[in-house]
Amino acid sequence: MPDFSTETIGIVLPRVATPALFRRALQSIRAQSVGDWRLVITQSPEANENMRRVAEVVLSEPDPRIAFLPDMDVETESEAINRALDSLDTELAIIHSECDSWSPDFLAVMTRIYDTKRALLPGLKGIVSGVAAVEETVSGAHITIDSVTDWHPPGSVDDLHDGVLDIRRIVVGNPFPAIAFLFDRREAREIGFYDTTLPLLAEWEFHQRFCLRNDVWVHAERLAFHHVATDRTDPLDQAAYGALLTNRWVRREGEAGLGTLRILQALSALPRTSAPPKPPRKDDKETPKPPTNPRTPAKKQKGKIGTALSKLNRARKRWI
Amino acid sequence: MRPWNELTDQVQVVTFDIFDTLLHRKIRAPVDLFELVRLKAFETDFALLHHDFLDGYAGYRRAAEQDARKAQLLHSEEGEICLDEIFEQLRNDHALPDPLVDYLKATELELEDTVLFASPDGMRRYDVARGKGLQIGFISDMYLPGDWLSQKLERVGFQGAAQYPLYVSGEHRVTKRSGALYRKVGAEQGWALNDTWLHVGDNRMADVERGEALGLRTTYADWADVDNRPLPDETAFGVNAITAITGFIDKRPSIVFQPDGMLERIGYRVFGPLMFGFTLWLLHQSQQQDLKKLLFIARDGKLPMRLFNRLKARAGLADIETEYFYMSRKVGYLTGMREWDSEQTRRITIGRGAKSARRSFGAVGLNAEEYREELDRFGVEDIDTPIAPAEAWRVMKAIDTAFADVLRNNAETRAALQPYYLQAMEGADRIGFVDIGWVGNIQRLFANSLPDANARDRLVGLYLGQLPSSSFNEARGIRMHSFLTQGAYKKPVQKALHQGGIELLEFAMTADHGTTIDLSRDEAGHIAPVLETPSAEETDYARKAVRVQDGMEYFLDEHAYLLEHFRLETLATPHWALPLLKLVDDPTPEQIGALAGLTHSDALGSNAERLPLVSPLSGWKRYSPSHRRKARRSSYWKSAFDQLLRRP
Repeated sequence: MPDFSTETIGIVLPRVATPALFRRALQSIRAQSVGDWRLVITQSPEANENMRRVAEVVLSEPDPRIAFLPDMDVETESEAINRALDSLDTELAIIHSECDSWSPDFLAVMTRIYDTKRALLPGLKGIVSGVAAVEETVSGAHITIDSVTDWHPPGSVDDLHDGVLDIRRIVVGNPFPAIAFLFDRREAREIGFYDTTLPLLAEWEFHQRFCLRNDVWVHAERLAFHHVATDRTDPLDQAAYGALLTNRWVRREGEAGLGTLRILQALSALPRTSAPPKPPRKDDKETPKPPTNPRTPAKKQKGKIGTALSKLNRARKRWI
Repeated sequence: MRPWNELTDQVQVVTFDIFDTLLHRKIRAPVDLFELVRLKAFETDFALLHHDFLDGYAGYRRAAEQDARKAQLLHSEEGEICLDEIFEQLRNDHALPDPLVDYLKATELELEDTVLFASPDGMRRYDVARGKGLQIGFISDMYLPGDWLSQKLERVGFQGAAQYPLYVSGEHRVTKRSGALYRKVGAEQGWALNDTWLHVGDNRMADVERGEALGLRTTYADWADVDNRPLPDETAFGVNAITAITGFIDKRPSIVFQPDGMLERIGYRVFGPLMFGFTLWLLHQSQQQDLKKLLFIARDGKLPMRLFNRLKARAGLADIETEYFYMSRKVGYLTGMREWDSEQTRRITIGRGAKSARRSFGAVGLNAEEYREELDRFGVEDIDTPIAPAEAWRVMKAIDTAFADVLRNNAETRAALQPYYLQAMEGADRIGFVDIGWVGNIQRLFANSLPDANARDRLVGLYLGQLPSSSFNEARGIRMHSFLTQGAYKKPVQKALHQGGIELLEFAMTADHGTTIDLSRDEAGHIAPVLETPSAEETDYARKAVRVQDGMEYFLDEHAYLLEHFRLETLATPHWALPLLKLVDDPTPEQIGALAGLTHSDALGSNAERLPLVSPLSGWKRYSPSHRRKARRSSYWKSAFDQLLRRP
C-alpha cells in the first residue's frame, strides 16, 4: 500500500484501455505546475499487454509519485475507484480518467482557490472547475482533435458560475464530469465513495450524495477537458437513464406518503433548464456560425476583374 | 487697439462696466454659478436636513433675486438690490436657518471669486487709459458689494483699481439702464456728461444706448459672449454644474485658455474634460479602495499616468506609487492562457479586417506551418491569405484543436517570464490596474501570468469604459470598475463606443512608442519588453495624438483649481464625458476635418494594418446605395461618415 502524506493531492486513474489515451493522461498529470500529487493507477503494469507497453515507454524513469495497485480479477470501475481512493491518505482526491486531461495549471489554481474559499466557508469540501468538451478520434496511437467547445451540464444551456454550487443542479443532470471535481477524500469516505451496486451513472450518483452533504465551490475557468470520442455514442446516456437516480432518492423516503409527495412536488417544480440568457458574446463583430461541412474551402476574395463582372451582371439583371 | 488709442486721445474720463467687460466668469452663464453652489452644498451636512431645498437650489436662488427686486420696487424706483437682500428673501421664502443662509452666501462669494478672471481685451484698454493718466471709474448694474469688486479687480491684475471710484447699482439703488447711475457718478465725481467721458460696456442698452443718450462717448465691449439663460432641470445630479464648466469652452472668452492648433483645441475641448474627469475618478477610486499603487498599462496608460501624477499631490494623494507597465494582449496571450474557452479563441481570431491563419496562430505563440493538417480540415488552404471575418471561424476551430499545445507553451513561457509580472505586484497589497478598458482581457492575462491563482484578487481594474462582453472576465473573478459605463451613462456610452468612440479614444490616448510585441530575457535574467518599431503611418498617428494630448494637459492645468473647492467624490463624475459623446454623435466640420482621416488598427499586437476612421467615398460612388452601405459599415466613426456624405 503506498504511503502518501496527507498534504498531497491524490489522483486516481481507474482504468487503462488505450495506450495513446493513457500516455496523454500521464502527460496531463505530470505537466501540472505543482508537483505535490500522488497518482494511483488501479491496474498493475503487468495487467495486460497495453499497460506493459505504455508503462515501459512512458514511465521509463520511475516516478515515486506514481503507484500501481495490484490487479483484482473481477472488478467494476466503481470498485476500482473506491479501492484506489481508500488506498490514498491525502486530504484531497480527484478521479482522472484516461480519456480526459487538464490544463497545466489545474491543480495549482484549484487548490489555491479551494484553500482561500475554505478559509471563508469551512463547510466547503470540494471544488469544481469549468470544463471544455473535446471531441476526438483515436486511431491506434494517433489522436485527432475534431473540435473543442464549452462544456455545459447535461440538460442545461447554462454554465456553472463562480460561487457555491446550487444543490438543485445535481438533480437535473450530472453538473460536472469527474475530471473537474477535486474533493475532500475523508468526506468521500464518509459517504461510502462510489455506489458499487449501480450499473450506470455511478459518477453522477456520487456527486449527488457528496453535494447533498457538503458545499462545493465552482471556479468557472475551463481548466479541465472532458474528452469524448466522436466515433461512438455514450452508453451511459443521462437522458435515457437520468430518472434512475431520481427514483432511487424518492424510494429512499420509504413507503409512499406525505414526505414522498412533497419530494415529488418539489422535483416537478424544478426548472428543466435553468437558463438565464448567456451574456452577450460580443459587442462589435459577429462570428458567423460554421456551416455543417467545415471542409468547404473558405470563400475566396474576388479579384478586380471578378468584382467588375459581378457588378456588370447585377446591372444587367436590374436592366432586365 | 488703434481706435481705442485714438478714442482715449479725445477724452478725459473712461468708465468701465465690470462684468463681461473687465471680468469674465469661467462658466457657461452667470446663473450657472448657483449650480456650483448647489453642488458644493451637497458636500455638507446641510444636505441631510434641507435635501429638497438644496435639490432645487439654483431655481430658488434665481427666484429669490427676482422676488427681492419686486419687493424693493415698493421702496425705490428701480428695484435695485444687494446680495444681502437676495439671501434675506431666500431665508424668508423657505424658512431657512441662519447658518445655512450664511453658508450659501459665503459659498457664492467664494465661487464667484474663483471663477472670475480678467478679460485680456478689457485689461489692455484699462492699461492704456491708466497709462495716459485719464480719470477712471467702474460702473456696474450689480448686486455684489462694491468693496469686494474693487478688491477683486486688483487681485486679478487691474493695478490701482481699488483707488478708482466704483459704483454698483445695488448700493446706490439706481442703474445705468435708466441713466440715473451715470448722472449720479457724474455729479459725485464732477465728470461732465459729454463726449470727454468714454464709457465701455457689453450691454447694448445700458452701456451704449443709454450712455450715448446722455451725451457720453461709448464703446461696445464686443469681446463678451453672454447668454444668461439657465440650464434646464438636470437629468442626473451634478450634470448642470459640470455643464456650467464645460459649457464655457464654447464661449469666446475661453479662447485665452485654449491652445493654438486644431488638434490641440480638440484635445482641450473634447478629450480634456473627459481625461480630467477620468483622472479625478482614478484619484477617488484610489482613495476609496485604499490603493497604494497604480499600474498604468502601455500604451493607453501613459497619458493617464502623466495626468494622475500631475494632480495627485493637489488631491492630497502624493504617496500613491505609479508604474508604467509594458504589456499588450499579444504578450498576454503568450503567458496568461491557462484555460480554454470558445470566447477566448473568438477574441483572438476576430477583427474588422481580414487576418491570415499565420497571424492568428502567431497570436497564441504557434507556428501555423505546423498545423496545416488541422487548418486543412477546416477549409483553410493557404495560411498566408487573409481570411475575411465571416470565415474566421475556420481558423478559430483549427486553433481550438491545438489547445493542449497552447496551454503547454503558455505554462513554459510563464514559468520563464513570471519575474516580470511579479515585480509589478511589489509595493502594495492591492493594486489599481489602469487601462483604457473595454473588456478586461489584459487584466485577466496579467493575473493569469502570476504564480498565485489568488493574485487576481489583488488587482482592481480601473478603466475608462467597459463593454458588455467584459462579463466573460467578470465571471472569472476579474474585478473591474469603469468611469464612463456607470449609471445612466452606461448605454449611451457603450453605444457611442461602437459608433467610433473606441477608435477616437484609442487615438487620443495612444503613447509615442510602439506596441509591446514580446518580452525578452537576457543572460543575466533581466526581462525587458520588446516594442514594435512604428511604421511611418503609425509615427504620424502618434505625433497627432501627442498634439491632442497637449490640449488635454492644458485643460487639466486650467481646471485643477476645482480640487481646492470640491471633494474628489463630487467631481469624479462621468458628466465630463458629454463633450466626447457630442463629438461621436454630432461632430463639427472642423472636427471631422481634423480626425476623419486618421487610421486605426485592431490587429492583435500589430499597428501596421490600419483602416481609416471614415471610409472615403468619392465621385459617383457617393450616389450608389451599395457603395454607401459598404463604406458606412467599414467606417468606424458613423456620424462623421453620414455628415461627410450629406455635404455637397
